[in-house]
Amino acid sequence: MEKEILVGVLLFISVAMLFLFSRSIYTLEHTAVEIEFSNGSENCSPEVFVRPKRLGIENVISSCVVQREPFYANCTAAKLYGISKLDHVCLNGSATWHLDLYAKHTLFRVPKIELENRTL
Amino acid sequence: MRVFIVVFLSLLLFLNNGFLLNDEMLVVQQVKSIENGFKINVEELVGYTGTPWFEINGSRYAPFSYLLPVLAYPIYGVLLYLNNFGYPDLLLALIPPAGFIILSLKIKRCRGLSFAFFAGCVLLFRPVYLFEDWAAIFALKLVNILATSLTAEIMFRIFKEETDENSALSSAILLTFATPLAYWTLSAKLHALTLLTIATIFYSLKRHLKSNDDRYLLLASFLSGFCFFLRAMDGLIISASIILWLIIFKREKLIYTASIALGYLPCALFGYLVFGIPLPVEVVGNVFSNVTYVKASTLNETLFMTPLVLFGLNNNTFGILNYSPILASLVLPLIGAINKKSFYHLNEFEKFLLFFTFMCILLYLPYLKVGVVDTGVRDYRFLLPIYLTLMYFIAVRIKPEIALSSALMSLSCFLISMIVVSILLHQFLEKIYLGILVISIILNIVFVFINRFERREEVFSLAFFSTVFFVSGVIMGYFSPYDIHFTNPILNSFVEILMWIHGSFI
Repeated sequence: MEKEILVGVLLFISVAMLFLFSRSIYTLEHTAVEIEFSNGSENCSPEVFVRPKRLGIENVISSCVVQREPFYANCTAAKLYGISKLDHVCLNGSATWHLDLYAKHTLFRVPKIELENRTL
Repeated sequence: MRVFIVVFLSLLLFLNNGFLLNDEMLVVQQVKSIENGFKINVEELVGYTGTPWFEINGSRYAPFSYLLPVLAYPIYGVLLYLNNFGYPDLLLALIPPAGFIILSLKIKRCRGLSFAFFAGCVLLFRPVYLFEDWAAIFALKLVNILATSLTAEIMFRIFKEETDENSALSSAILLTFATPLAYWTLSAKLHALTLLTIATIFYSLKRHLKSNDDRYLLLASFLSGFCFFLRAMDGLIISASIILWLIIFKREKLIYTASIALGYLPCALFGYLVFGIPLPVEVVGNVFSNVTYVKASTLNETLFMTPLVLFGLNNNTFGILNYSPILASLVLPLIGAINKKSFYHLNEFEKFLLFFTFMCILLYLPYLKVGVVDTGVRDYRFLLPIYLTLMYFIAVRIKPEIALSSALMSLSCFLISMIVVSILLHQFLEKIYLGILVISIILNIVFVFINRFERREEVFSLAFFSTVFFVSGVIMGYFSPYDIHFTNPILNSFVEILMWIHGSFI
């Protein structure tokens, strides 16, 4: 019984210390993704591939949007285990493309966790 | 308190931030509503299907008992307070492995494993994203885990009076993990609290019958009145069972049932103070507002689905024998009892249990289609109280044994089901249900002939097959657009690896 109490006290102290320093020890890493653009044809946007580079606290990419006013293309719900492919859109002229990635829905909110701007 | 500790730590291991039902979002709102006079803010329920809340006196309320949210509220406050100092989910992740280390001090061969498990949890921990309602979800689930651990302890004490300690201990653990009890404990619904109250009533009645002390009968009656505060229907069933049982067997003690009214008082007071009607919140919601939450089905529908309640698959709902194949072990003793007409040899407590089971099935049967089958849940959750009585008969008639040596088989059951579900569930949901049905039928046959097996403890470990249901529920959450995680870092990492493998295959 004495041994159990001693181990219990030691464990309590360890867990309490880990908890108190948890914000320093553990970082709240968000999901990171790798974006790859394939060669698009003339006047067309490239195809966009989204790959998970590091799994963070979010396990889902719920949506991503490539936007160039007034056109945009959506890639529907994609998960971090897979590659998200975005179809290309053809337009005249060059432009700046914005790629927004939205990762996971919480139960009551859809937070945007990462925004990547790319100029093509 | 050994059973309480083992069940508490085991359930805590499977804690997660996922929801199984729509209703749970409403229960979360109930926790937050305590600061606001119990009025819920339905505008926060984005993505909620249906409108089961009700409006009375210009305010909106949820038609579920407010007792669970009230009990969860202090834990909710503590979790929010702890969040100022560190990641509270780290505590939820490390308490079970720390507890297992203390338990393993007496078992030499498990010691190294438990230290490795603790170290693995420390190393693999990553904070869960704390969205705005995380504290309420964890608080509700923690209350449920505490309630079920107490239920297991109380039922263990009941079993121990009728059988040996090993069988009683095994039965208490099987009650938790081989029935839908674990599934609903790890949700934000209040079934775990109702079962705790009913188990306490059973215990009080058993003490009364053993010692003839009428104070226990008073306590049982009081608690059955109190049960109306949790689930009005369960309160009605247990109160009616006690009254009718006393009328038939102990008419002179009927006076003690007056304490049912006393037990009902907190429920009446709550209803009167909040809604102006001294009735349970479900009744207020269903009768005195425009919401009809659960309707009774027609006689034909009820008769058609009755056999499926026992066996088979109705929509997504498995029959009680399919969900818990261990119950099939009662089939041969039941046939034997019918042949010998040995029902007359049941003791008074067992007669009460059968009476209660019969009442429970009879009163809930018309509501199972709309309240359970149509909602697509996996088990007949309204019938949860009958698992207490059925497991009692398994404990005293079958005397199950599970040994530490069979833990490997249980773990294999768990891991294999996890791998299959993670890799296949997303694409082959319907086929997986059929697969589960086929496996459960095979297990039913095995459990019918359980007494013919020499190494019964290893066969009994197959009863943990039911864990596939709550594991698959959480894993489906990983595939959903919500951010679902097990709080245990090793389990969480394992599921993420499986998801990665799944991704490599598609």
